[in-house]
Amino acid sequence: MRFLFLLLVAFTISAQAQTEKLQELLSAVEAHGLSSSWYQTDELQNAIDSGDQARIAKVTSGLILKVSQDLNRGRLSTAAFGRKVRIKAKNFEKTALVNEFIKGQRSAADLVQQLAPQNIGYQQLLRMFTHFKQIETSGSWMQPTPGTNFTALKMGSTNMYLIRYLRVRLSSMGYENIFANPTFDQELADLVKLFQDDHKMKADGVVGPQTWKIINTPLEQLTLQIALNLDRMRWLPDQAASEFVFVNLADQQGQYYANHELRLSFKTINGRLDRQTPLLVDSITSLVLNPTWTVPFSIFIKDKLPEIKNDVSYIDRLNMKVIDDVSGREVDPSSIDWSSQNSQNLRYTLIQRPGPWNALGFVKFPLQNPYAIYLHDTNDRHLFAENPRLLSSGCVRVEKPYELAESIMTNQQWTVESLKQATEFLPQPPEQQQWLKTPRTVPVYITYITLAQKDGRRVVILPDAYGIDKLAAAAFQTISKP
Amino acid sequence: MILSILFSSLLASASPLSGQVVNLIPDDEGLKVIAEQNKKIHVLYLRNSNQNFVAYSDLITQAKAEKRSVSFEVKKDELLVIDKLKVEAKP
Repeated sequence: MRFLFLLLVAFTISAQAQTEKLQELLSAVEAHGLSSSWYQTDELQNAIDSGDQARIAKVTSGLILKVSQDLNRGRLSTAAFGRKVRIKAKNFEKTALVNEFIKGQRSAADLVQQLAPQNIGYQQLLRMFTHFKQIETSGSWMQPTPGTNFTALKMGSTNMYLIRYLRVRLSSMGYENIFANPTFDQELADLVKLFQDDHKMKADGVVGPQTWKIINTPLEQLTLQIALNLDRMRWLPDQAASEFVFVNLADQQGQYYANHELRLSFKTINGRLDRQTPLLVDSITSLVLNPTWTVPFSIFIKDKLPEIKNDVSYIDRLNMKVIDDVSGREVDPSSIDWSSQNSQNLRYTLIQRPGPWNALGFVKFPLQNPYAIYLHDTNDRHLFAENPRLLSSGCVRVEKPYELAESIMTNQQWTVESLKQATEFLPQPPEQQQWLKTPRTVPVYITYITLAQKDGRRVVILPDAYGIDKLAAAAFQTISKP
Repeated sequence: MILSILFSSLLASASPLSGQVVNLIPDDEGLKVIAEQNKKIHVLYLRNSNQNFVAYSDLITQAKAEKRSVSFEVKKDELLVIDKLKVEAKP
């Protein structure tokens, strides 16, 4: 229906003008990482060759709509990523703007501006993409001479060619330095340490194989990686809400924004490689203080049941209680004949009581998704010192649960101090968990961006641990033309 | 040996089971479904990795509220895992 309407508009415009419109739009979207070659289809060429005005109008208007949708919603479908991505495809609600463009009432630049998402992740990546495209155009990206031997560099090294190469590459990635300086001095060593620290490597100031590997990332690979990430950010709402929680799974970092300003940054622990946290668009509407934790059925069967069969006091030692699945009532564990229990007849659920032993810690941030993915505190806080932090069963553990809860509750009653008083400072852990309704619904974007920017300028290339870039790159190459 | 292979493949294959849903217990990996068939309690499990997890959990929840019978196709691994399900028509 939408396309028929566009077609009607298209018939009133000359085929020549419309083909020019398409080319104008394709040039404009290149700056957003969408290649014009993807849309130069055989169907378009055949229509132009035929000279049939109606056919040209039909093909070009179809392509203009497709390019517009790709720019707004992403060229790659979320469905192509299976369980890795649990984000519903956005509806395209900007057909009227596309009509105006076809009718000549709106320029390509303006259409692109209106269609491109304004969310913070997209805009940050777009600035990065523009930066590297400018470097590409200016020819200032220093290519290594073929056969260069990338030996280790450190303070006092005298290989002037490698030192210059290192300085230019660092500068291109936002690590500003005076690359006319031919020496490996303290300033350069400190810069290398900063680069290594940003990239979560041992910050020793020595440029060894691991550091060279990142420094030597080809420009084409870098721009492709940004383009893949831009496409992923198109899955998020066009306008991020003014208040939201943003989790980058690739960086294992979270952020809380209010009034469009960054208010809190924290480390996260995300799903292991075999239990990856999916990308999600979700929301927080309540908090749970002193949460209980329901032991997943498979863990009950595999890990807990053998221990209980061996010694029923194991249940008490782990501060758990047993609930009868049929009556819903708590049962005395010693009244159950555990020896006859198995996966076919086990009609009990194990629930861990609130307290310092609880796997969810003292604060839980439930989300609305049906996959039991949520944010929570942890009783293993020392794991935040690890790198990488891909250690959970899928949920996102947050480093600063009290600060996040305080930010979300935003009233005098719930401060970090009062939240602690109501949880870990209680003389006795409570029997029941406590639900708190949040004053507002807070959107949560669980994303995966393999490029970060530190202090608004230093570009950090992150490992593609979940393999999402790899899948996306393959899909970019093989996706059928419209 | 042949019997053993036959038995294993029988266990791995889907088999139907039907009953009324008595209780639903969600956890981090899915939904435990307690169903009753001819006064016998069955403990089934719908993993959230099932591609129809959302639709199936909605159907089961509705069937429980309306006290309608559900037929389950289950795959037996370590648990009786629900593969497919169908809510039976109202009598």
